[in-house]
Amino acid sequence: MARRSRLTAVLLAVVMMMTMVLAACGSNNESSSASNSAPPTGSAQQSGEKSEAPKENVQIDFWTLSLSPNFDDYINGRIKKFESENPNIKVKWTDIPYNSAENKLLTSIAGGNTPDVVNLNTVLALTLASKNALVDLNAEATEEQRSIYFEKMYNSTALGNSAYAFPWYLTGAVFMYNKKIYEEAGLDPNTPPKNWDEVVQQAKTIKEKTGKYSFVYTNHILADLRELGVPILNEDKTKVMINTPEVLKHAKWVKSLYDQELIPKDGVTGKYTYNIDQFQAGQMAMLMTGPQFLNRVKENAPDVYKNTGVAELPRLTQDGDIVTALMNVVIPKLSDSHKEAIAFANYITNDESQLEFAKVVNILPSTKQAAKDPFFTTEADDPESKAKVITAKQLDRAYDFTFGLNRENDIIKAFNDEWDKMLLGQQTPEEMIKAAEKSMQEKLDAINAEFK
Amino acid sequence: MLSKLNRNRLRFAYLMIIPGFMLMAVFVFYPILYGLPLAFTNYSVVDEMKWVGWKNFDRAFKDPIFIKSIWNSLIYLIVVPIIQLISILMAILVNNRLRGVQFFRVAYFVPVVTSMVAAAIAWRWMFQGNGILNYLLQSAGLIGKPISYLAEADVALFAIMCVTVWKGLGYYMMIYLAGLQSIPSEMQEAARIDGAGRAKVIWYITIPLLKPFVLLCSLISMMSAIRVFDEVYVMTAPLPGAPFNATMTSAVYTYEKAFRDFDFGYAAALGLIVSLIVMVISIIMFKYGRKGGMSYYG
Repeated sequence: MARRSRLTAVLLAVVMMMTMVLAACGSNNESSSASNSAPPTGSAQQSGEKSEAPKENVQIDFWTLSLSPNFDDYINGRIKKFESENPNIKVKWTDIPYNSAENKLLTSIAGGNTPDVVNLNTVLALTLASKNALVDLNAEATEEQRSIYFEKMYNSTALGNSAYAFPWYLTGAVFMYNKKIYEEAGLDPNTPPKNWDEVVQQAKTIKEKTGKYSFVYTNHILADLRELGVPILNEDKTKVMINTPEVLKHAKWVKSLYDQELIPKDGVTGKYTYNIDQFQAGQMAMLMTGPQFLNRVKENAPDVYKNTGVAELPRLTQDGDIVTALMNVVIPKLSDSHKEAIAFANYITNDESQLEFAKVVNILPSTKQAAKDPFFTTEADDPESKAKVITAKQLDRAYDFTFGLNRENDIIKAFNDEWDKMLLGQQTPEEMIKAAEKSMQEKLDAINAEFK
Repeated sequence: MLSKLNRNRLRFAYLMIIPGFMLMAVFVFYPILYGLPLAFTNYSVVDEMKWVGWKNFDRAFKDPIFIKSIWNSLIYLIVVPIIQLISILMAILVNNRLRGVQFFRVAYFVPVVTSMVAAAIAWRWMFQGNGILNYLLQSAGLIGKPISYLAEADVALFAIMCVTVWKGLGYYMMIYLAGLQSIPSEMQEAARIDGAGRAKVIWYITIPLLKPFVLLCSLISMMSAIRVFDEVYVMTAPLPGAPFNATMTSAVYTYEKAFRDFDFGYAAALGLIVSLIVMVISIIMFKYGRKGGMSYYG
């Protein structure tokens, strides 16, 4: 009897354990049936058939990321205008928190309630595209619809001959600095650095005079390498090519910044989050990121904001492309109104909509005509306005870094892990290059084997 | 044969179990059963699901980050004996009939009811190079240069473990306190009459009698340690498992595969492997930790 109850107890414990470990990975049956049985309406042919006859009373579910309540008036206004121009289409807008976008989208697709137009960042758009979940706009959108955007931005979500998103708004990057710390260090607060040599020189002075760190190296390293002329991958994307003198030189230079203790080790892991926290706390002199963070500094640390200067971001090269954080809109394949969804996605990202949006908040447009508006060259005295003019100049060089590969995050992570190991003194720059090349090549081979 | 009264009681008991069981069935057992075949597919929610056989498991055993994450999860088990030892001592401490002991009971329990995310963010600040921990250690002359606890690959995982220990102590202390209060006082009194000192009473009487509680707490603690997620995810943001996977645990990696890469089939396979490891450890713990309580003297 005792033996039996022990056995029962063990069995129960085992079930409980499996429950706890597996519960997170479980899913529901509806999800599989949704993805299996719901006929994907996204093939070009099907959509083409639909495009012949406009549907009556179509409802478009439009999802955005963290735009409500701040931009309710703007979004609702655009929707109203679109509906008045397209009386057969009604748009239902839902705003979801940025951090739960993936979960909400997956849950919604699994539950058979796929939205028709979704606002996503490039990484997530590419991840979904690699899973065959998005409409190929090269196949289903018209040339007129596609041609309004800057080409580099439109191609940010291109995989092979397909492109999976209309670019929406973006933010450039500016150099922000704490004038008070500059003064404490005996530097001229009205002379921000013009190039990286000056950044390093000023950081040294600040460290010596105030004991404070100046910055975290938050650059996207692979984008740095591309800017420096390193191809990273060969033309047919089968071979990693990072074993070059330029990579070694750049690696040694960035590592020297850590070795000289000009950058705190916490920055290796904390990245921009750490940089922003420290800048707001008045503990760090420089912040090289999007001007939208000025707002955060203004709210969280008004004293620091009062002393914040804005200048052009020092570049590694004078004429290289500039990496930017781009927001896109995509159309999930499971949407049953591709044509109408594409029309709305194109509308909410067209010249008129983007220009109006840029006037409401400090963002930049991804369309060519909107970018030519005098609004982007008119400067007032506040930091935000200065940042707008500085970043607008970068527009024709702006792009969102991508290899145009399925699951390319694996390759980027493989590189970044080895890079961080080097920064934290676990390997030399030479060893880093060899290890990163090997690790990236393994990932690339696996991706090419899986998706060919 | 059960009497009519007992039969009625039994029926009533089953009736009471049914609602809870139904909830468990829908939200727990069904997802588990569904998760098993999922491990043999390439399920991604958004794309067509295909059966891939053992491919996910083959990939898992060749995946260096997953192997590293399992290793880290096993290292994380160090917190289990530490938590048990300290929480038993805390329970003994607050089991005394002292004035104001209620305050300490509540104070020790505060971390348990604190949000893990908020606590992890606060600890993250404390562990920074210019955080309070370095300030205190430097002021006391214990270290020269400040240490970036979460950026040092050899230290980061142990720094996160401190948060788990801090957060868990109060919870286990309460269980041990309940255990202590269930121990018949005659046994301790008898030992004292026989001349045993305070330490001997704790070592030879209290702890052996607490053994069933130790087994229960160790099991719960072991499962929590292997599934550790929140502390790691928040304290290593924005790169989960940073620096370079030195703090990557199996739960964080499984989550990343599922919700970052939409690789649910693979994530289910990883979950299954981890649950098998938990099962083996639990069986070992049951086998060697069973004897205790009053049976210790039997």
